[in-house]
Amino acid sequence: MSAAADIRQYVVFKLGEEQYGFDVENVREIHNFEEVAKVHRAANHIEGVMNLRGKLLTVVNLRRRFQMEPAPSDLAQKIVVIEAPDAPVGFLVDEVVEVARIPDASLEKPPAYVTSGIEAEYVTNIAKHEDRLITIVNPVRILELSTDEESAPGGR
Amino acid sequence: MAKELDMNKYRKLFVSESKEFLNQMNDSMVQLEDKPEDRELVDQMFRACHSIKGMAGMMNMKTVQETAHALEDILGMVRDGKREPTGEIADAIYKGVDALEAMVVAVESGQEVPDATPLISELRAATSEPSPKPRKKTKAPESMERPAKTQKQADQDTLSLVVKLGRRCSLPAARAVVILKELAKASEIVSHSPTDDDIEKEIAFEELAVTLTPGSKIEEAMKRVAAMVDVDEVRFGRTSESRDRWQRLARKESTTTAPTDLAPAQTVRVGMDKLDDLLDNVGELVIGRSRLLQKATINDDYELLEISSLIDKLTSDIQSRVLEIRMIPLDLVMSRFPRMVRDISKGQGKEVELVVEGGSIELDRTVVDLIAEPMMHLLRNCIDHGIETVEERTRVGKRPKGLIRIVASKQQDHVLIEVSDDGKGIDLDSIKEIAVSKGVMTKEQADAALGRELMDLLFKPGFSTKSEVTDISGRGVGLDVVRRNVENLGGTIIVNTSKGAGTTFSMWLPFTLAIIEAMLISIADQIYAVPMSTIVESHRYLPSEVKTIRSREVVQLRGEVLPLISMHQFFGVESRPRSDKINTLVVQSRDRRAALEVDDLLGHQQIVVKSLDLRLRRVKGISGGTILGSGSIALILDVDSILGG
Repeated sequence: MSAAADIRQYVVFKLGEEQYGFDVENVREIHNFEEVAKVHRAANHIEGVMNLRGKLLTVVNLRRRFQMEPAPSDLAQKIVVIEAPDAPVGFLVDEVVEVARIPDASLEKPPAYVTSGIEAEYVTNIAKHEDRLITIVNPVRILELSTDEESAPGGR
Repeated sequence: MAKELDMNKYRKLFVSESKEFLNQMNDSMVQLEDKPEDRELVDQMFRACHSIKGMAGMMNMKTVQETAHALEDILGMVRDGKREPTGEIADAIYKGVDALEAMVVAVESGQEVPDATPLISELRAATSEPSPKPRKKTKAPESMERPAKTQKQADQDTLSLVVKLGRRCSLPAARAVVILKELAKASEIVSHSPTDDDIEKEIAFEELAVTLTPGSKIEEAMKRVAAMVDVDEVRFGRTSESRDRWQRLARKESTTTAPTDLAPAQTVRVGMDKLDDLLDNVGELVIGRSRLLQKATINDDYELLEISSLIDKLTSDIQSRVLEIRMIPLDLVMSRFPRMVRDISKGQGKEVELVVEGGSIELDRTVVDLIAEPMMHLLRNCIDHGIETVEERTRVGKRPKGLIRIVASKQQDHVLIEVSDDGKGIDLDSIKEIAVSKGVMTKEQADAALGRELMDLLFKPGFSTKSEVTDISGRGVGLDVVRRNVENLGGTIIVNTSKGAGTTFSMWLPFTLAIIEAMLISIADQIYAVPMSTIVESHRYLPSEVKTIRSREVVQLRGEVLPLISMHQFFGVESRPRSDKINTLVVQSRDRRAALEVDDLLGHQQIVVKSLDLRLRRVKGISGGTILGSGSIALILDVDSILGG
């Protein structure tokens, strides 16, 4: 095993004060958050549909997916576009911090107390990187676990 | 990784080409049963089978290869006049073709090809049994007798490639030398045609056939050859017979079917996904164009305006071209029908002739794909319940062989497809009886009903005209599904019948699903598109005209009471207080109508339909989206699901 194979790149982004990371292999591009068309009867965490170069891109609101407070309105949010198996999907995040090179040795399994139940399914690791703690999540798993397809009218 | 991708590409190519060959074989076989002496048909089938075998060999699909080989042996005996293509032999051929079809489907879906040893031995047995009457007189003069064993031997040892040179290749001889050199690096060349002498004499040729010993580097070499200028195509195939004979066949093909043979060299196969992408890009171009126009108008720059109007025109041209490219002929689905009709009618002891007209009419791929199933349903219906048995037909003085016609024709902005049979027709009296017995109508209503209204009942779920049953099912079964499919495509279907003389189903279908006419509306500051095909009319109501029935709001349109559905409520967004006018769209899906309350009507336009992500496809109320000239998205309302829930 060469040293290079033990270092992976992660797209690190913020939700509130916490930092999260997606493996760069899953990420296709990063976009400014522009206008979305709301899809009213879709699952609660679906922010809407955006025009990504002529294709309809579904945007997932990650704060809502993680049951966090809505983002302050003055935030210039970003969309991290993920290569899902069927089609690209966008994740709405507060801010993209950097693309970090993190050695596998800095990764730890998440403590069971912090990630219980369903969260354990998509939180793959905790990275200790430059005095920060970054929660590494698998975006594809998040999508697979989004089974609550539809909410009742007005159910948000 | 890259290698895997390549394999995938080849696999796709194998599937699409094999399917074409199998279609061709099915088609030829059905014709051959009518004209057993038509040698050209046998030759066609033989070539198709041989090509499949070759491709399978290259892909290392042993089972496919062996099955094709066994089938080829049978076809070879038919061609050589040692067997008649009827009875058991015909059945064996059909069986072989079916098995190959199943295998190709398995390959397509990435499954393991099932074992076919019993079938292969069955096919082999068909050739070994002595035929009752060998047709010596038509024995092929050019056929070379080779013991089966040697044939097999050859099969394993050499590999043949065909390099097709472009029609514009100016120096084929020079190109051939380069190709042979390249191939010689990878493997030993056993022979090639044209030969060195012919190449030296610079005889014009378009194909270079090379036989080589198999080797691991061949694939690489082929890729390099395929990448050369002037090379159109590189095909593989293991030869199992004398090359001379093979070439004679090839030459025969080029002489007898010269016009169609020229065509493939000038066509390119393109994946549907690529065309979809192209259409998306064009959509973006349209948006960029309108921005440019806007800018030019604001700045009042004459030169810029001129340029942008040129781009405007070009963009529209490109858009319509792309849509044209997506069109495929109806024949692509209809070519399966003769075989299907044959199988079903045989199974019921009926004789049916199928005539297809207008198969060359082109529709958008999506429409053609979706129309196959309803059409198959109708054909089955015609045979099951329309066409009578031979005895019955003779008794009433009809031709013993029943006739089913499929006629497609262009009608302004629609295609009309008619499926008609000359069978016994549908008995209106029996429809009446069933309608009354099922409680759909009262006796009085049924007696007063028009023929059209009664026929319409056939498309209702679960409605079956029992009295004309030949087996367990009646004519009504499945017709509701046919109608739903046709309507999902934005089409309509009606049926006409006359007792004793036959039945005609007429379907009107759009040419494309990719672009539709739609009304743009707004609901809670968001723009939506409503397909024009679902809109009956738009209407404004005064708040005082809204009544309630059991606390549900209704309005009236020329006396018809319609539920009033507030789209605000449907989407669960806050409604704004009703002003003096209520804008509604009266919409219809199947037999349900309602008035949809919306904020504003913004006018109608053509929209390019785009599908939604998997995760949003089941969301009620929307069926897709489109990108407007401004770059923003309008979701397309799904009237069917709004009225249904």
